[in-house]
Amino acid sequence: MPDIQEPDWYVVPLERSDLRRLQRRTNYHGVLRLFAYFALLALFASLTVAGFGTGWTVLFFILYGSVYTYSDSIEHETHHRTAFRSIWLNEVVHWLAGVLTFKEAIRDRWVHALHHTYTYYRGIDLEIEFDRPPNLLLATFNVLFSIVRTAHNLAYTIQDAFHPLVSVSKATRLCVPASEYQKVVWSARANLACYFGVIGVAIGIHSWWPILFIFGARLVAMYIGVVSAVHHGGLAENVPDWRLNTRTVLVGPVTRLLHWNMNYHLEHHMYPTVPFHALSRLHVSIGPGCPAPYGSTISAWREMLPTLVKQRRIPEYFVARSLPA
Amino acid sequence: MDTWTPVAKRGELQDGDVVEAVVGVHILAVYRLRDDYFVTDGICTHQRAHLADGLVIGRIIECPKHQGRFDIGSGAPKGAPASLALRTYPVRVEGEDICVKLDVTAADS
Repeated sequence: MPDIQEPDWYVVPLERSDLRRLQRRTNYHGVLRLFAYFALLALFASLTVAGFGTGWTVLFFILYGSVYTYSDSIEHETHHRTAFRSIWLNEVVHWLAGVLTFKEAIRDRWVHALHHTYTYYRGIDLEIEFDRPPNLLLATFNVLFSIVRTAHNLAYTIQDAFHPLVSVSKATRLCVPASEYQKVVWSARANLACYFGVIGVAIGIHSWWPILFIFGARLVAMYIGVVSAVHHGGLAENVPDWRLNTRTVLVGPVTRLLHWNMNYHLEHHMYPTVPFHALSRLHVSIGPGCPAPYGSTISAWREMLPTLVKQRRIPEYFVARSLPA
Repeated sequence: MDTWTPVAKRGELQDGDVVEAVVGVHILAVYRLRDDYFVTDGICTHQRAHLADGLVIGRIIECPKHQGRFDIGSGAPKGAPASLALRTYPVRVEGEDICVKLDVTAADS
């Protein structure tokens, strides 16, 4: 755990009764999203297999992977227990999403809690996307393909699974209290059992498809990579004000659906108990106290990309956002 | 002699609600579940967050900051990132006042 004082974050005030209304949870919003997610996966998987031997199979596999990697958004929403009203449903989906993301959900919930406490505090927040100065080639690679991140997370899971023969992983050591290690360790072992199960099925049916659809697709991260890189990239660091280090970006319905409305990222950081389906209403409620949202992912990239380029020469440079009076 | 301190009025709390009370240096969270009242420490044991801003779900209080969960009656942690129990306090109702006994430990309660 970091030994610096917890930042005292600025929050745009909200009437208690309004907050209570926004905090209401449902099952059906989450179930519908989950159904849409798996329906799209089934569709694109079928088309990938059906098109085997033609160029279409590559296109459909990319589409499959682009949807598949939004398991990150499912895992994230269930981290916060805001995906479903039902506690058990939330926790089951949370764990399964952890398998799909290769993150191991219990450890990653602690890592994410740290991100909320120390958002963009360099040296503490483990979810900071870009180095300073950034290596643009590596950054581009990481945004488009989740190879490095997935490899790190899988390595953490393997290491945790073999505790106490080896020490726990760096992420577990930094974020999880020792009293909770056993939960992480057993969850990591169960994750690995799932992965071996997938390999076993592939061997059993003499097919590479299970490997491709679970392991290979995880690396096709360009859609979610491009969308989520702008959440914090290029903004101020080490400031206790999410309005200065977090972007809200207006996106289309497909991205909102797959991303569980996490484009309202500033609102999510200020009020993380508000479920995804109420974030657009929260955006309206606290909007006057926040900087204007970005009109599209492209407009956010237009600001972020030149900033990252400039940070190669001037690492301390960042986008200084102006706040409402 | 027992010292019972009034911390809230019954009318302030609806079923399933939580409010904050400050008594000296103590920040407390006062809950109503149906016709029963409970009091715990008001600050999350994980990191600094006021539980009165959180969400009551059944017998659970969920922290507004990281959604760590505690049992309102026992203070036991019920979901990460909560891992340490909240201190709980004996409560009694005197007329309209919800009163708490502050000079005991969680184990005593």
